[in-house]
Amino acid sequence: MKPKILIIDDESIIRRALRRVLESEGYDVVEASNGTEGLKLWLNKGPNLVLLDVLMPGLSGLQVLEEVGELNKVKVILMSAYSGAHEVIEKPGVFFLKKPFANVFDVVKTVKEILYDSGKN
Amino acid sequence: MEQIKVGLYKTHKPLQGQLVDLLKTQNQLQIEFIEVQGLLENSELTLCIGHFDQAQELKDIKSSWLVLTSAKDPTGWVRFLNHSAVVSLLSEDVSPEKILTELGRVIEEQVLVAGAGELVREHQTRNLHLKNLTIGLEELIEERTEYIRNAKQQAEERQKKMRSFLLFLKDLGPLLTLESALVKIREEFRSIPHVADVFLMTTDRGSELWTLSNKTLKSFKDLPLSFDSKSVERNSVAARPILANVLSRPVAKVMSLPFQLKTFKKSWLLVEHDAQDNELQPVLDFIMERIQPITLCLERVTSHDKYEKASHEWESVFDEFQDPITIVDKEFSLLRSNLTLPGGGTSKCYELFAERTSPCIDCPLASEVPIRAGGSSAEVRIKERLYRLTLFPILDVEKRQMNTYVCHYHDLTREREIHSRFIYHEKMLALGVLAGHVAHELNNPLTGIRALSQYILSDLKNQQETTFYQDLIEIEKGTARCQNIIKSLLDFTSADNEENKAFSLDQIVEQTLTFLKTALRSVSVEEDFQCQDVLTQANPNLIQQVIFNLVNNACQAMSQGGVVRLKTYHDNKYSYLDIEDIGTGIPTDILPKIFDPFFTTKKEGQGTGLGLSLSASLVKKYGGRLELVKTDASGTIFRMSLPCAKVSHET
Repeated sequence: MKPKILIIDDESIIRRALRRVLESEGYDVVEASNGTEGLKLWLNKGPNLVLLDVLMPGLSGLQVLEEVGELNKVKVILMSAYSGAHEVIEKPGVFFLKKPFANVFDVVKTVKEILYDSGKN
Repeated sequence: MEQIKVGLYKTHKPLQGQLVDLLKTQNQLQIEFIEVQGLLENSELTLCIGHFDQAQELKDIKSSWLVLTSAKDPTGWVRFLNHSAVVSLLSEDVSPEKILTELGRVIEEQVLVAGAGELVREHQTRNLHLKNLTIGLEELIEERTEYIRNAKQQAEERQKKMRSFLLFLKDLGPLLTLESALVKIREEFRSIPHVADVFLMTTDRGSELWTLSNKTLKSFKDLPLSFDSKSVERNSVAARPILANVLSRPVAKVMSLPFQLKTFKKSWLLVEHDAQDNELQPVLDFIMERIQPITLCLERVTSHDKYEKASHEWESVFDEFQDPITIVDKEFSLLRSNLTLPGGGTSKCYELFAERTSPCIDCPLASEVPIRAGGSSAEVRIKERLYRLTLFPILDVEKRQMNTYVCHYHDLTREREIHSRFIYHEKMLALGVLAGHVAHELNNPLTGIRALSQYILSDLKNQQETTFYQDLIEIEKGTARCQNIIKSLLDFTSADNEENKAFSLDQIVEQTLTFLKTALRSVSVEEDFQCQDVLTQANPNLIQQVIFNLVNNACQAMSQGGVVRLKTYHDNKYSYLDIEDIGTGIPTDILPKIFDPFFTTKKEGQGTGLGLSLSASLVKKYGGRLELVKTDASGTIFRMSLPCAKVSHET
């Protein structure tokens, strides 16, 4: 079974780029353009990993995390331009990715590593 | 008829009786006969009848005698007739009638003689009296003459005194300074004996003593001893040590004369003299006679001095005042100003000051509205500069009119400049914040574009020869550069929020150069970097701003293009960056001002005027220095030094 990845980002071009790259790597990708929609998909689809943008209109990434509550082995990669964000969320299973990323394949690499580690556990 | 007394000397008794009887029969003569014993003169007797036997006896008789003699030959007696007082000589044999007749004749003669003698005597007495009178008169005349001469001399003396006094008054009259007054007073007092010198002393409003040294006024303040005497002291014991102390020399006697001036309530004229007590009165008289005019004169000169000083003070304030101040009349004629202006005379203020032919636009004096007592002001543009011109009317007390005005020009140009620069700076700050937002917003789509490009590129790995693939590479590169620029911009604008950290100066310089591309377009950059491995402790973003400013200035110093040499080097304590241009140097007149806030040579909008001043203060904040190393016709070098991070020494 393919690992399921949920992308929550208000920037469509970023969602599209990430989806293309991750799908090419064989992941099952679902995407949401805002926090509310993302939260719904998170609860319905049960992703293995969520790529979550912090700064979004409406429900922010951090609020989404709060709503979700217990992660239940779901891995989260927070994406933000503000380097201070990862200090705010100190939670096991939550990772941090600084935007803008120079190479989109670095993102794929990070995703792979996290999922690989979780698979080991 | 007067009773005639006749003396009888040694005559016969019968003769005496016969003569008396005979006299009774005649009523012509009234004769009283008095017997005399000697020949002594008896002034009561008019005549004596004597009987002499010897002529020798006659030599002792005086006065007039009728001599009877017994001598037969009287020739021997005749010589006595000539020399003695014998008026008649008869023989004793003659009859008593004859004697009586002779007596009558002699008496008559005698009376006549006596009358003439009387007359002569009277004349003589009168002459004597006249003589005495003449002598008295002469004496009187002499006395009078002497008196007149003395009186004249005294009058002359008085006149001379009065003349010298008047001359002194006349000399005192026009004097205007304390110095000249004291010179005159001293000269006057020294014209009399015993006076050595004159001083003026006051204890009003702090003690002070004035003296003359070579006709120059010398003042001593805060006298060592106090003095207070309300009466004239001929030999003041208290004043003497003061003088001696102040003059640093022995002082003879000192006479102190108190007087009151409006300017100095408690004042004394001190006169140094060497007069003995008995010689002092004329000196004192002389001085007392002059004390009133002297007081008046000193009153005048001291107030004149005071007003002169006040007026001088006011004038220097007026002249030293930074802002231009003028006094003009209603017709704009310039009466006075604290400016050194060309020309003068009856020129108008606008001609001289503004170089105009008509009053300045908006000048309150040119408007219909009357000038207010508290001042009327307007903003007036004069030769490219903006002034706040305020006019204050001056009341002419005599004419009860306001015909002249004080004009105060306050230069607003600089204030306006600073204000506009301040606004510009605020705008720049806002722009920085805005740029930050824009940069963030741009980041997202850029990231997406780049990521997509990268994905497509990887997807087309086997079609690398196609132009499509090559085009995409350019897109990816372009977005990469955009991201770099945005990163720099964000670093630049969010500088204040960031912490100090250790960094290499070289790295910061290289980063800064990336967004100076526009400025560096017309110049070439020569780099000599030797601080790659040396870390500096500071806020890198702020330092970046400083470097940005310095390089930007260097580029602007060479409008026709040139070379900017950037050189980094270090010693044990500091890392250095030298920024050198090959421009024409900073003009010497603005050199002292280049580190001043808001000073700029650039046109509005090109520089904030905060560049160098802010840069210098930033660098200083991190323990470094920003200095001008060299500026001349061959170019300018600025040097920035920053302390090396301690970490780098330990590693």
